[in-house]
Amino acid sequence: MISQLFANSVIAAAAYTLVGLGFAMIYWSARFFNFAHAVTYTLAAYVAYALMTALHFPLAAAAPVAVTAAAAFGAMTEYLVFKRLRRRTASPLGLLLASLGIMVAVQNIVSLTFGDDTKSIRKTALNRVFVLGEAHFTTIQVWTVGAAIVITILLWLILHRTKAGRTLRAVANDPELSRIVGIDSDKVMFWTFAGSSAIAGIASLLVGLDTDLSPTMGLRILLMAVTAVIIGGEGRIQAVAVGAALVGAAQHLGVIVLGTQWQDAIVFVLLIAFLLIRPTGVMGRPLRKAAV
Amino acid sequence: MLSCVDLHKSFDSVVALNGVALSFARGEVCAVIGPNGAGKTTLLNVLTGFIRADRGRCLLGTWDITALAPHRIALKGVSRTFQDLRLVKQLSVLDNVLLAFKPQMGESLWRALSRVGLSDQAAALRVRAAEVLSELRLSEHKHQPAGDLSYGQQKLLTIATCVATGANVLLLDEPFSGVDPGTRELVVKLIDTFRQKSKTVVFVEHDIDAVRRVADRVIAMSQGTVIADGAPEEILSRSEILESYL
Amino acid sequence: MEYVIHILIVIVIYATLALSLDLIVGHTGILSVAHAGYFGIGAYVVAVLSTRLGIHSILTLTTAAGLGALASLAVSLPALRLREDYFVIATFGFQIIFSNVLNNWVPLTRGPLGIPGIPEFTLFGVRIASQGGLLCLAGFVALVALAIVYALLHSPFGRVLHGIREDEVLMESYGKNVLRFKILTFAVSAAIASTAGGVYAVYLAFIDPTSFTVMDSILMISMVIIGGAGSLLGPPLGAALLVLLPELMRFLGLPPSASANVRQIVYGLMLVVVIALRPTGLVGAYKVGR
Repeated sequence: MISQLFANSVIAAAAYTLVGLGFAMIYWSARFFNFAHAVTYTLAAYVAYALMTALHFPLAAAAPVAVTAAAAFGAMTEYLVFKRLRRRTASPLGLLLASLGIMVAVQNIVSLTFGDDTKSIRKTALNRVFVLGEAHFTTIQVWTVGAAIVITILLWLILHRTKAGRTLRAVANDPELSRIVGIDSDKVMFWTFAGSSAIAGIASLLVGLDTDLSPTMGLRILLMAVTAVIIGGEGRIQAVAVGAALVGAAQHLGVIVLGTQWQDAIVFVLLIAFLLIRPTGVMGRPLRKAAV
Repeated sequence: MLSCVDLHKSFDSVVALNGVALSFARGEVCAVIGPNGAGKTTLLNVLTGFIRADRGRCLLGTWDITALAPHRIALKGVSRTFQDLRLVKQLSVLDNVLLAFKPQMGESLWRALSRVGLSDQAAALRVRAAEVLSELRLSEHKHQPAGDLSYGQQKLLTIATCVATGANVLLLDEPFSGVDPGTRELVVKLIDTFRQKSKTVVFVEHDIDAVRRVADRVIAMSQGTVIADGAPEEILSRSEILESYL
Repeated sequence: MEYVIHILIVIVIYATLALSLDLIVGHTGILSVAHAGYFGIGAYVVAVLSTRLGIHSILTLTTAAGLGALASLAVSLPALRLREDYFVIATFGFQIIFSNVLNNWVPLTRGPLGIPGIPEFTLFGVRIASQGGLLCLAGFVALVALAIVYALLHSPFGRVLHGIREDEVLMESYGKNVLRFKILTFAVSAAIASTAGGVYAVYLAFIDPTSFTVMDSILMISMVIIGGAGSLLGPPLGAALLVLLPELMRFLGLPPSASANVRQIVYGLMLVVVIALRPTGLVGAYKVGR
């Protein structure tokens, strides 16, 4: 029993890591909480669904199109909305509000187009069950954990070992200075959004193949991912994974004490506790004080 | 009156204050000079409670104000201006001054709802505000939004709000920078009246002429430490002080 | 005619909610997505008091207001020290925890089944039964809310709020205890929202957790921002607009199942447009998000 819960925690943590990484990249570079990331995630799954049911695409073809669509959508929100807002001196709060508006609108477009009932893109091939000790898990779940590990490492390598990554970290650290030095921060932002959204798209497909689709799937997982990012701490890739592990553990192991209906509440109590006691998170660097 | 002992403050790896100990007496007008990054504004921020020092203590009279919240320090009679001219730009000049007056009973929730005594208080405060504004030559702009004033006028307004708080200790951040000669003269006059009223004035400044004209004492800072402290004629003639600016 | 009065009652209740939310959003500059929670607390307090304890007096509204204010402390005391965007996340958290409690604390709230059969209020023993009577009650609560907000804004308390909205650091330097002002304002805002919730519960005679979710909080924020934050006219205008929107959809022939989605699409997009192009909304005085 415990080992099943442990396995569930790991799988959940993997999903939250993937969504959290994209969200965190946007937060660290654009400096706002982007709730539209929730619908970037949702869109990928539904694009795949539409391609597979209406146009009979095989999964192998639908998947890359879906991920690209997510990347394009995310990049477009930056290009059309957030960049304009930045030009007009919008505060982090203004950007957050705009992203909420996008989230509400797109979530309902999905709901209107596809209906509120859950849709499935499951493949029996991917749902073969493995047993390890007392824990059961499926092929797609293994893929999810694997993807989380691979993408985390890849992202770390890109950020720390490539020129593109260093440029991104420069912009994240000090956008003004970067511009003075000649970095085109708009371009950097555009591609950061595209990359983050692609990762969200991958996550969406992996989770969607495991647990079906619904219009609110994005918001639900995003709130877990936001918790993971905040608990993990400011500014480090590994921190997102650590935070996601804590969230996954709290959610699934907390069930032992409180029962499944309180799963989400446990996570948010944890979030609020961290915000109050240790807002820099488990691995975070000290937050800079408000400018005086 | 106002003093500090062994103040240390670092931001990440930058040392802003490195063992600063100073003491300011009543009625003293003291200028703090030094190049950018010397720690002058950090000193002001620590003294007024907006930044907590890593080590050291601040005292106001007999009170230990080191760990006090900024609004509590302000209530004990310390007022300040900011380097970036903080004002409520959307509100009128008059409202900005009215805001600064010490605890007004209308600021209590129950009074605001019950309206008891509010109009009397409002009338009394308007009279006091008019006095302050005329002293600062801002009366004719009373009802204009503070954001519409010229830079020099806004600077005067920030000093007006300090006067309105009734504080006995005024910490001014670059009161002379960027203003025309007429306004400069007015600020010099104002600081003189502060001295006559036994108020303590500590001001950060780069304008050496203004410092010469109005300060009783000059403190030179560099890289977080006090490198000189004494009478203006003596300090300002020393070459190493001027060199630290380069 | 009955239908028109129904719409009016709903508009008046949401106008009250929007006005109370604007007190913190438009006049103090704090964003909260937990407002539907206070709406819900008032509704459930009145519902439980009347269905479980048989207390039908209109005075239960004051209990609702008091408990709403108390509940606001659960959010404001711990979280108001946080930076503004982290505070929003905290209110997200509180709102979802609240929804969870409504759905799971079945002994008290009956969970997703909701509480049916909420009886009418009694005033000095007389039942307020008619639709017209309830419209008067909703209108009365709205007017009291308006009076409270007006009184606060036209006082030194309100002046400090506007100062906080623009520059908290400056207010601290004037000796204002900024945290105290925020906590008090938050409590007043929550108390008004809870009272509106009590009226809502009695009017519908049935409540369930689906009216008090995070999406409802976002709807209220949109009403304030689209109508125009920082003004007395803006929030009620926004409320009227967003309440009438689905009615307009139905009038245009949209099937009812679609109208809920279309309404959210419209105000979601309007929110983006307002924030980007006209942050004062329709008739507001405060530029939200700048």
